[in-house]
Amino acid sequence: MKKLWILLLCLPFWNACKVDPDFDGPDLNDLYGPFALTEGLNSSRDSVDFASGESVLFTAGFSKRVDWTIGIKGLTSGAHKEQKEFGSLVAFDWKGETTFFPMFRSEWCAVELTVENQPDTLRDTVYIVAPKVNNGFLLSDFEMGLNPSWQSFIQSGQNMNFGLLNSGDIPQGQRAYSMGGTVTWDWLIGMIDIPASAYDLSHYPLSSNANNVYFNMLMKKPAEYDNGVLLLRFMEDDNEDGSFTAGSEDMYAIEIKGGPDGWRLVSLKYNDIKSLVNGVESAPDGNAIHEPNKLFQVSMLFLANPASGYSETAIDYVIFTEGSPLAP
Amino acid sequence: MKQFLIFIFCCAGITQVWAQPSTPKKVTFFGAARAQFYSDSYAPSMEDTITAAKLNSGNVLADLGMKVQANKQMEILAQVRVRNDYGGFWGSGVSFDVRQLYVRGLIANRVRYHLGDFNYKMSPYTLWNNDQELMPFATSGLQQQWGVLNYDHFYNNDHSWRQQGAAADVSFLFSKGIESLSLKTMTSRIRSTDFANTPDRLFSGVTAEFMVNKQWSADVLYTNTYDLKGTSNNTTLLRIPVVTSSVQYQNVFGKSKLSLKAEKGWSHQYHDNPGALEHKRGQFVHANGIWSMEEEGLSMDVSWNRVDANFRSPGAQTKRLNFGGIPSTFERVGNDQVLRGLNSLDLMRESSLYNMQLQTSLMDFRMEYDNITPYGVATPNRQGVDVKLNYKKQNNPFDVSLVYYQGQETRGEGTQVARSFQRQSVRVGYESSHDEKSEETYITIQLQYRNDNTRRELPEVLPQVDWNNQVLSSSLDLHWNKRWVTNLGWQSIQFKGSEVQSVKDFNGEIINFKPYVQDGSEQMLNVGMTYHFSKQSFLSAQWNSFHRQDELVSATDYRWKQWTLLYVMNF
Repeated sequence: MKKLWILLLCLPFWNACKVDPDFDGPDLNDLYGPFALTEGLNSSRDSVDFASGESVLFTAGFSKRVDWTIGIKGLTSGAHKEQKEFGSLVAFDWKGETTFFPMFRSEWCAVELTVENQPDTLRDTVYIVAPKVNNGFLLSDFEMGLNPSWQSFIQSGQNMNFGLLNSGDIPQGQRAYSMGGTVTWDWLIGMIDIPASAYDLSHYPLSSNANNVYFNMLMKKPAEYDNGVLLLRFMEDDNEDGSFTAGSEDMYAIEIKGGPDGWRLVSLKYNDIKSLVNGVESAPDGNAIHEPNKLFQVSMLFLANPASGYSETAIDYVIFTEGSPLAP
Repeated sequence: MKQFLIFIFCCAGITQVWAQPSTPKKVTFFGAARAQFYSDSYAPSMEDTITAAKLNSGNVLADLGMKVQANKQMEILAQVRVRNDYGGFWGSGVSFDVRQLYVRGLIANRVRYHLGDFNYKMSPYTLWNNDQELMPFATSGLQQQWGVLNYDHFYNNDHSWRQQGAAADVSFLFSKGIESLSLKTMTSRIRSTDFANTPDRLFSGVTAEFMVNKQWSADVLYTNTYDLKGTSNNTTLLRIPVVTSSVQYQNVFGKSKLSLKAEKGWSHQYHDNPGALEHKRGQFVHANGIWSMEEEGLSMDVSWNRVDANFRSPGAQTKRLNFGGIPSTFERVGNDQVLRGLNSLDLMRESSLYNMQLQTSLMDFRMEYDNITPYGVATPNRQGVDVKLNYKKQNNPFDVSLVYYQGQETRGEGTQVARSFQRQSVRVGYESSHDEKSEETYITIQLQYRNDNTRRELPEVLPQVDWNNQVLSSSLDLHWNKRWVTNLGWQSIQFKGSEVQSVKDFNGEIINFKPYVQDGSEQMLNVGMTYHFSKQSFLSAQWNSFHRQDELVSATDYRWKQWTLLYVMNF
């Protein structure tokens, strides 16, 4: 019994008296240590074919952890990829994606590595043999014009501007689609219906898992106009009779308005899109199950307050992806 | 919980120990009265045409209490405070407060209970009210002012915290196995809800003490600091449970006595809203051995402990002093009227700097006054050995105590290199021989010195830690007869070197570091007279000359002279 108590007395000191290998707070060397380049900027290849799955690895090293930024600029398109990280090692594997539109093309790119609070810039170049290919079901990139099987309606208002854009600020390829005009008697300015039949299909070729399906498009909000609303509608053929019946089958919708000026990527998880009535969330009319595999038609309605005057937007590269949102 | 209560009452039925109280007076009146007056003059080293050079302040108060012995097993106490600040006219400066209120008694002559206000302590790692910085170094004349602060905030020598809630305890004797078992429990509210986003916060503690025999004993302690669900809209509720257990051994070997203790504990700080904030798990281990020879007046106390950086125990780590506070006397100084930093004179007179609520995050501390144990023995991120030698023999006019501490961090801050700490402290007391019953003159002298060093060696390009602070205190009391005492004292605090302060976020995580360099001192001279009406009442007049020197920033260099008149009466 006595030995047991002595053992209990000594037990707490087992494995004591050591300093933790970790430490609290940021590394003092990062905050106050001298900065030096331990390894210059290197790229794993001079030219890269993203379309065939290649990537290019940029590496560099510093004497302490710093905020570093790699900027890659397409010298023809003006596309811009920016990668910011904090660390003492640079190991950025670029797969051809873009941060600021437009998307990259087959072109020479200038690469710059900068470090916060350091004056020097490290430079390199890389040539894109073929740009990145995005997997998914592409509704249109407007390079071949407007799909003739799409059905459009345009109000007879003033300064109506529905049509292809082929100059100026195009985020992908050479063409995009513009929608604009002034309609003083109605919110609707114009609309496009995109039925699955436009692709010779009864339903969109999507999986049944609504959490896995993303609707993506590039959208522009001109700096001059804040009054536009793009209403996206997704109509399902719940009973699979080859048509959509309003009032008895599901229609999910979302309004996109405001946001930053210029082009931006809009990515929507299909399961997150609600049923709306006059802009207010409501119960769906059909089986209330998000079923992208039964998607019958996508509609895009461009709206604006009739009293607000001219309004405009533009879209490009409309695509469904599965597994993750579009990484252009 | 139900089973636990049944167990308690069943055990209580087998055997119980409780002294039967004698029948005291039905109603007892008690209280205290105090008058305090300060006259201050401020003299900066730099030109200052805006700050008033002289200030007068003070107050008079009376604490009036009534203790009612309702029956043999129940006692009710209520005490109110009437206070009038100096300068208050026609009631404008008068305040009435309930200072304390409680009911206590016995249930079925077995379980002792206490409802309302009470003082409670458990252990230095669970619930312990550590002394404020510098108080042990106060000269005798200044101890009167510290005493006022401690009385007002219910800071007692037993290191208990004033709590409001309920407590109960019960003891059992056993004929087999162990000799006795003592169970204690308490719950108090340490923060009240605002009925919006701040929930009620409670503190609960349970102690189980097992006396195996005269040599061996053990205990298990549990505390929990927790937000009460449903008392606000906030769903992120804090929990900080702490569990400790210890084994103790004591025995007498001839003329010497040996006492050994080993203790280990764990803490877990988390929020019951998953993913809301990071969890913190920490532990500590403590070993202590005391060898004493009572006849020779010698004792040696050796301790070793290791407290993890993540060990959190609000009951043990809450500080009395809130260094984030602002002084009320000469609050803003200089022609720019900047806030004046706290100094050691403020610590012994600014009541508003003192805290009575347990805090769940580590409070600020001033490394000028203590950089090694700012949160007492439970200071997180420390491990080291503490050796104390004491000499105090009956009929010998001298008493001496020496302290040596050598320690280091358990985890580095901003680097894997841990800070190392070193402390040397010496105290010598002298009291000339005299007869307690006679009115002969005698003197008492006290000298205290503490030297603290903190170091961390890193490459030269990184901020260095080489911090030293020293406290020197000396006092001489001339007791002319039983009533008159002349007080002379001098206190010096020096701080010099470089440290690296950590900047923390709201969750207590270190997010940045700030180099901190100081080279200065605070000197305080004290001269005064005290007249003792009785052991419980005195009138004291003290004059202090305070000088803060700063070799680096001359704007914070100033002198401050203070007259204090203090009358204290207890009845």
